[in-house]
Amino acid sequence: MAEDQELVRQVLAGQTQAFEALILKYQQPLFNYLGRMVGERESALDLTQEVFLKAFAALHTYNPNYNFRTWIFRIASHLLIDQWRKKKIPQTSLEPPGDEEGASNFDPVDSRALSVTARFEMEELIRRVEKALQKIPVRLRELFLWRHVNGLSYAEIAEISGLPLGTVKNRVFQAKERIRAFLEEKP
Amino acid sequence: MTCFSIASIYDYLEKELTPEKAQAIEAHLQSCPHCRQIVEDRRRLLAACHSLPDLPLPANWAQSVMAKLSRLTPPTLIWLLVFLTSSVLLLSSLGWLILSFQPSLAASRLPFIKLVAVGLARSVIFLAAKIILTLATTLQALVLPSLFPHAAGQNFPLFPLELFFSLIFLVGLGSFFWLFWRRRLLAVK
Repeated sequence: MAEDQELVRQVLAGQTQAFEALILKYQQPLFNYLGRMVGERESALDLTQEVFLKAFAALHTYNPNYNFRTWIFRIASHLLIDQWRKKKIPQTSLEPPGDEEGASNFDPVDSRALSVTARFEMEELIRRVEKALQKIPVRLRELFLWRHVNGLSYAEIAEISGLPLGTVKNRVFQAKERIRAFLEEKP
Repeated sequence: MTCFSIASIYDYLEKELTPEKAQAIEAHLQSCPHCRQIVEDRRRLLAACHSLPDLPLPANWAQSVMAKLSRLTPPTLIWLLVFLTSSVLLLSSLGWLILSFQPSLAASRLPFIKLVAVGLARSVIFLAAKIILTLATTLQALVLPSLFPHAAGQNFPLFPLELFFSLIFLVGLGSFFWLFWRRRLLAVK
């Protein structure tokens, strides 16, 4: 985290190129989040790009005593709400990457420890979780993604969303149980 | 011992519990096959959630964003132009006000200031009048004399100045619209 603050300091001191390190660090987490919140790949890419443009323009307002990750995710969340209000983008998830495309990025937990059958089952489960994500309400999906795809703590999510910690935990719980309920349905 | 809630089981799996409560759950799991099943079920779900693949980004995407950032940084010259046109517009308004309400000043020994002020003021009026005349010529007779009585009887040979300052005015107006658009693009909540 201190690394982020140092990069911000460098950018504000005029070394604009230091911002590229921040883009490289946060492009994938932000795209994973926005891509699964937005319907189209191109819209998600545009949105992710706009998050960085906004962050760059507002970098002087960033307080280094706070977490940069929560700051940039808050920008992304506000931008998303703004775009939805203007009805510029849909609210469905991206289709999960196809087998060929996803295979290179796919790295299941303890995959090497699983047998071939268990690995196949896990891959199938992941595919179905991805589909189930599209069916849960966006207000739950967003918190779920922050927690279980971006790996943010509940406290960080509360900070980004402005919701009480208990509400955040409750909504993430609801999201997981709804996804689980969808998984129980016949594929 | 009563079974734990599913929310507590998630907390246990996500290591969100105090060591004491985690131990209590582990002790309970030794003797409760029902809860063991729930734990295994949710453990698999969480493993799948944490293994959702990265959505593929285009190659060299960060560099393309950096290229756009450099284009967004406003050139100093444009900011200078915006500042100058804003100042010119402000001065022209002031000049027009002074000349309108203090005719004696217009007749004073300040030919250069008078020239600039009247020229600027008339250029603004010229543009406004053009727009108004195009929209409704019938309003001309009613609106212009009543608004600009001092200019009505005078004859300033300043048409080239009017044209020049009209151009400056348009550039200034364009700059302000550009600024407004840019602020919309970059404004952060």
